[in-house]
Amino acid sequence: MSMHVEILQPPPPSRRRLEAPLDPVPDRTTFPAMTAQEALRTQNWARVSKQLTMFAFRHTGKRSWANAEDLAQQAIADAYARADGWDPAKQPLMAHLCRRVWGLATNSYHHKRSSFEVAMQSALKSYGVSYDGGRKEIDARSSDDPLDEVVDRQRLAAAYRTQLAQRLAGDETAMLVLSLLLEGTDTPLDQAKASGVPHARLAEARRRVFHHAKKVSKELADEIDSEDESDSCSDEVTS
Amino acid sequence: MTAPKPKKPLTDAGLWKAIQEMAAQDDMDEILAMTDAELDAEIRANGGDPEAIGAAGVALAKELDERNTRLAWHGEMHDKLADFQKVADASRTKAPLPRPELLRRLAAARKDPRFATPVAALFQKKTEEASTDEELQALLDQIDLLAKLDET
Repeated sequence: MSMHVEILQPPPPSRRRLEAPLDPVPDRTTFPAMTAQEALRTQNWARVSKQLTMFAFRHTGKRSWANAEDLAQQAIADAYARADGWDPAKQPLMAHLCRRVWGLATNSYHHKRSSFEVAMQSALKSYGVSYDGGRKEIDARSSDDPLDEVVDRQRLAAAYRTQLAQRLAGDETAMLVLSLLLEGTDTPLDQAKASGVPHARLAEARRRVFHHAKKVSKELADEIDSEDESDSCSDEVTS
Repeated sequence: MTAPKPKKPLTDAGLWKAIQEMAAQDDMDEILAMTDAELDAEIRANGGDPEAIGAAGVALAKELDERNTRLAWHGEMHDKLADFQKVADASRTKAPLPRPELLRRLAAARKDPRFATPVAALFQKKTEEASTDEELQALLDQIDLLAKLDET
């Protein structure tokens, strides 16, 4: 793959702000680390609440502020109820809360998953890997699924990858992001380090990858739905 | 120094998941990088009410803080109960004692002013002679526990 060789530029101001510690972590050599309860007590909740609700709003397709607020508040209440599930020294509060919102939104009754999303979740399980609503992989191997279903899902996943690559063909930075993701290099910082591409260009490319990925997901979901419809029609005719 | 563990290449379905996560991560990063004014403007531009959202968050956190303070004694009680359980477990006799030894220890407990009244109360309904070895053993365990709690 031919690649532009660019000098790694210093990150833009907003990115620099992002890389600064999000939650103050005390110097362990001089101060004892804050407990989760203490850290929760000292947050700027007006700001955290707005950030988290905004995240929930975006993550649920910008459908409802009321639903986004519910998700954000539930995540905050969960964080208080299970404070021992968060280590302020290891993870910024927002990252912890966003994972909770993500998990809640994914499991929510209101979150109608497309047939493609359902198939991909099942495919992950058939590979023996699933996720706990965040990034943590959990063992979820299922040997109960019929082999033909497993093979169908794997074909679907392969079609997703192929069609996405076709859509991104000619977009070198987006293809680079895709190949880095496939190698397991997923954070913006790691991708910038591995590729030498400036943050801003990578961020744009990541957005394009997601945009096209959504389109491919939609197309594949439509294909599954139309196949299911034609199957049920032919069943009606034969019965 | 150990070499970093090589990352496992993703499966095709894993790629789908990684792209979902990437988008969520980028969303979060973008929101975190916003100033207060930018965040408020973004919420307003999408039809939301930043003041109300912020106020609801503050109120919720206040309520949860107060609740935690109010229920803090639950944790303390839990710790005390756990300590008591440890003492109780430690005072339980592991090997059964012969009956003469059980009777000897009970007689000694009767002479101890701390336990004379409770031991007498324990034998009000049933005499030593009528009690089985297991019952005597259980009584001794209770007396031992009382003694240990008295010492703490």
